[in-house]
Amino acid sequence: MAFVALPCLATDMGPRTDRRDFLRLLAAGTVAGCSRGGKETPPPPSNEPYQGKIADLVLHTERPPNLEMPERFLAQDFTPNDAMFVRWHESLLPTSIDSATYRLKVGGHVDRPLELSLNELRARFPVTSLVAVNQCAGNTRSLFSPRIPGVQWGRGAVGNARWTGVRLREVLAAAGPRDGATEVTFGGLDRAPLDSVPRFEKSLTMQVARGDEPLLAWAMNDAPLPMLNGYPLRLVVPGWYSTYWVKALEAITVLDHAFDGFWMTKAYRVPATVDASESPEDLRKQTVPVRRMNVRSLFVPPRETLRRGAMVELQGVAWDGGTGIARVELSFDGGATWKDARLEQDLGPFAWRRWRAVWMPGETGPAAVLARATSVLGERQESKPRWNRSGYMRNEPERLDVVIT
Amino acid sequence: MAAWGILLGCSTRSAAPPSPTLHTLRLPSEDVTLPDLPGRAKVTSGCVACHTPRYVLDQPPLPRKTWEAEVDKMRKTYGAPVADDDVPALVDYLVAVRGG
Repeated sequence: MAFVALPCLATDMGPRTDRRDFLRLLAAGTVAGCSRGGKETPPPPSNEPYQGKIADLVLHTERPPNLEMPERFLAQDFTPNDAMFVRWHESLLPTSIDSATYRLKVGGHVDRPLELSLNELRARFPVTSLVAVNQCAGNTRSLFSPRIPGVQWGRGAVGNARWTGVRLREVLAAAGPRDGATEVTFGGLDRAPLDSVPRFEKSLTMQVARGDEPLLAWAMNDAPLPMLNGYPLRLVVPGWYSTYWVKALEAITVLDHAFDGFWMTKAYRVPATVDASESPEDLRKQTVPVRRMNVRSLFVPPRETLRRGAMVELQGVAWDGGTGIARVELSFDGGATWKDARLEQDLGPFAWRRWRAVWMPGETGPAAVLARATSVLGERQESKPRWNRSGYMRNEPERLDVVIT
Repeated sequence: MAAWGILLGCSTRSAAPPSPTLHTLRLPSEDVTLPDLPGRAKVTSGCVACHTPRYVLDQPPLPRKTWEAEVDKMRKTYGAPVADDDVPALVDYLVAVRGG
């Protein structure tokens, strides 16, 4: 019998956790593979770096962990694994996984249900790599006005990495979806401590799942996924917000109907308008799921002092939902005129593209620089303010405020 | 915690060397002190079962109406164990800590 890697209780839950829930976890499979050792080894002190991560990730929450990348890493083509942001919805993360006994289950409306080990995935299907931006739909939520409750991400819930694994469509084909296969769901090893919390599960239509790009990835930047970023396997949907990039994949299930789970039908939705925008006084009744990313650019915060009459190099990154970046423009006069920045190496249409521009400030005092990107498809960041009740999909042109000395 | 350790058989595992294929994650302990204002106990009892109270501290000042909606969502959507009678005091606390 295949082992099920049980999510181990990550921290001291205290007396409030429902015993019924806990026993449900035990009943879900064998206990083996779930070694916590918490009785003998106390957890690290709260001010220590998170495992495999730099010390100065921005701490939003520790349970579940939501940790943000410092903005200086926007200066790099590839986000180092120890700086990649961390975001989990539900607090019982898998804390002990045996790579030898782990199995990915593929089932549901298929002819041939599968249970695949990591070695089988590698051996049976062609291995491929793709560079793609991993961005939380709520990245920069804290910049919306009026403010919106939720994890108060700044600009660091985003990273760029090379993802290595096998194509989702190959694994699905091996399982043989039957006639009428409509959608496919993805569930991970993480759990919530209460039964009442909807299990984190996302779905893709069969058409999207059979596309060229979606991957079942085991490596990030040519190293195994960190535990905090979804070891041993995660879904990667290049060009789409990373709510779909389910971590610590456990089960892929083909359905003959549309999935009606909470995290698709109620959460991660935006107004069904052209710009996914509404006002607090007039919330839209019709909503659609967030899906493909909109075009976006960010500044790397300058580290040097900016002086009047001295050349300074501004830099940043830009990306879109998968067509690539055609231009990045900067404005030094509040948007009246725009000048092209220089685009750096093209790492692929799903990756971010670094850009640089040289500026000689003419006046001392406060100054603002705006940046806007245009995708290959022609989508451009617009200055019209946008808002939605959940704080998703922000992409207004960034404004860098500086002081010239 | 001690009971869970026994149920998981953890105490017997420490004798064997760890398997080379075992990947583990150690998460730091939670160390959050909410401001000591009236109603703090409602957060401790009703919210902490699922998540750190630091979610509260991460928020900007929010209007009372917004906090009421958040508490409602936690109770109705996620099943937070907060009794009807405890809602006003809980909202009062959240507004006291992060209201504006």
